[in-house]
Order: sequence, then C-alpha cells, then structure tokens
Amino acid sequence: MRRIAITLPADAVEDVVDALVPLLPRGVHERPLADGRVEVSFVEHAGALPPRDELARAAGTGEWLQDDVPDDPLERRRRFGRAWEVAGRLRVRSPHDPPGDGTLPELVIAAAAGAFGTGAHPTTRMCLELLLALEPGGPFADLGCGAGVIAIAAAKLGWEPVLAVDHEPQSVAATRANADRNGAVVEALELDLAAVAPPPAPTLVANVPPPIHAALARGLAPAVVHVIASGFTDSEHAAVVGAYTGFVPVARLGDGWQAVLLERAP
Amino acid sequence: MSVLDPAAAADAGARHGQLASGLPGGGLALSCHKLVEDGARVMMLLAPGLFRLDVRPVEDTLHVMTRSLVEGARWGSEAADATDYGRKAEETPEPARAAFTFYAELDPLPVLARMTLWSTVDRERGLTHFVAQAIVRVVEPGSVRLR
Repeated sequence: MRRIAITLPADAVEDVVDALVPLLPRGVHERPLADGRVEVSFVEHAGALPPRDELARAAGTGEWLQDDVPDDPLERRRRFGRAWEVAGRLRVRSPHDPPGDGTLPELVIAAAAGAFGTGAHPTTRMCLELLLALEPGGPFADLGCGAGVIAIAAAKLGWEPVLAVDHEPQSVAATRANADRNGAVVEALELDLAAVAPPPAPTLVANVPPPIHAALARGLAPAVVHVIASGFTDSEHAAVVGAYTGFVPVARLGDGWQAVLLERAP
Repeated sequence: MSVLDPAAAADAGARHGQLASGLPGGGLALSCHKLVEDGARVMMLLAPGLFRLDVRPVEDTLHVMTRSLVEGARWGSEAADATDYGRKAEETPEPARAAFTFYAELDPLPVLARMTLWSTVDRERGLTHFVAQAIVRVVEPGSVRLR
C-alpha cells in the first residue's frame, strides 16, 4: 500500500480535497499541522493509484511525500499516527499512535464503543484550544464527556475538582479508564443533561448537540462564569449562543463545526 | 434525459465500484458500498450532471456533503427528518440509516433523487461500512418542495 501526503496552505485544502475525492476510492484524510498548514493524505495499492499527472492536476503544487505503508489500518495508525497538537501547547494521541518527541505535554486517550471525544473530532480540538486560553483553577465540569479528553486536560492544566458527566455508561467508563491512564483525578458520573441541571462549576465545557445546549442554558447556576460550547454547526450557532441568556461570546472557532467561549456578562 | 443514462453513471463511478441501472418506467438506480477509515472523506454516489454524495465519518458524527453538478438550473438538497449514524450501528443488529434528497429543475422536467445511506461501525478498528443507494426519477413540475 502506498501513502501519499501533500502539505497545503489551509485556504487551498477545500478545493484540493474536492478534486481528489473522485479519483481516490478510499478517500482523503485531512490533518491540521502545527504550523497552520494542512496535510492531505490518501492510501492506495500502488498499482491502483491514478496516474501521477491526474493526481497532480487535482492536488496543485503542494509538497508531496510518498511512503510504503501496511495494508492494515491499525498498523498504519501505529506508524503514522493521528495525533493532534492543540494550539502548540498540548498533544493528544491514541494508544495506537506513536509517542511525541516530548516537547509538549501529551494525553493518551483510548476510543471506546460509543464514546465520543478522543481528540479526533474538530469540536473536541476546538474546545481544548478555548480551554487553553483560560486561566486554570477552581471547579470544572465536562458535560458530555465522551472518552474524557477535555476533563483530563482540565485536571492536568490545574482545574480542581474536575467532574465529567455523560448520559452513556460506556462514556463514563471510558473517561474513568482514560483518567487512570493519564494519572488525572477526574470524577466521572452518568447523568442525563436533558433532565438534570448542570453542576455549579465556574468553568463548564459542553460539547453536545443543540437541544442539550438549550436545556443546559436554562439551568445554569449563578456560580458559572465561563461556558465553552461546541457540538453544533455554523447554521446552528446563533440559536445555541442565543440560548445562553446573560452570557456573551468572547471567542469563536470553527468553519462548519463551531466552538464558542461564553462569559457571564458583567 | 442524458442524466438518467445508466451507462454514463456506471462509467463515471466505475473507479469506486458504483453500479448503475435503468428502472422500469424510466429512471436511474445507483448503488455503491465501501469500508471507510475514520476521518476519510469518500465519494459514495456519483450521478453525472446531477450530484455527488460524499461522506466523512469522524467518531460518532457523519458529515454528508451533497455536491451539485447541475449547471444552469435551480437545485436543492436536504436530509430527511430521521437520519442516523454511528451509535445505533454499534448497539443494534441493524445498520444505521440516513436519507437525503436532491432535486434539480432540469429542462424539460425536474428530477428528484432519493438517496439512502446505511452504515455499521467497527469502532475498535476505526472503520465504517457504508452502503449507499439512489433512485433518480423525473417528477412533475411543482411536485417537490424542499424546506
């Protein structure tokens, strides 16, 4: 199996991916790089690759790298990894990915059936980026914790105590296992956020669908100062942010998927 | 109408294993199946001159992109009310199902495509097995109203 990776400026990615996808039955991956550029990559058996000139017409003038890789997707991940750097300050990887070079603190997050939030999804990464912009300290709650990466990052950064809640038992179990794996102190609980008010922590992260945001926004305690809200798209942004009465957006990330830092209005 | 030509659709989607055939009474049927790695954007269906359906599974979310290939005519696309991906496919013996429509006001008559996407997920290996099918038919003018 051959892997080809092309490094592109971020503003060129959409057109290149759109042109490459019809040529490549196994599809195209995108990965943001620490320098702001994006790596676009694909794999195919060498004999089944489209002609080089056809690929070049679609991919433009980006920098190309080719490598022979294992057929098995898990083996490829072990070799190339799908680790994510967040704001140049934090690295998140799965146990299948190779470790980093030690220059950044690293979280190792295992996926579990049904548990969202290993760091692979853009909303998770944007929540982490907004979290890194806050001064750590005091109680923290991760609402809809999935595999627990945000709660674990918060505990590592200095928030305490850290509570992680999710309505799915497999997510709670995955968060507990990942907290242990990373030596983080996180209390994980099963909780239906559509039915129960969120905990009164000053800092909340809620990476959940819009209907859950509506329920959360109605039940926020006066102690809540910051809410990092994600799990919605640009077309849903106004409705989600508008539901948080008494809060103002102070930062926004995303193109498609959105993440917003909300702060209690003075 | 040339957009309903099964030979053209089969040829355009051959690289992806897309099958195409005509339908009794007129129309076009398309199908394709793939095993997709988490995070990869792949083409699932291609109807030349009409649309391309791309999907990208990321964890328990599915990003579906219906790209119009229509030139010089109004078109629209939307997801059905009940769409599903991921968790259902992990937790039940049935595949998850998502449905979409694509509508184009072609000359002489409008065309409506109904697309269905079934998925099952192997979370441990980071793979989703997709099966996609589309039925494309000519419809009466004014018979379709997209939201």
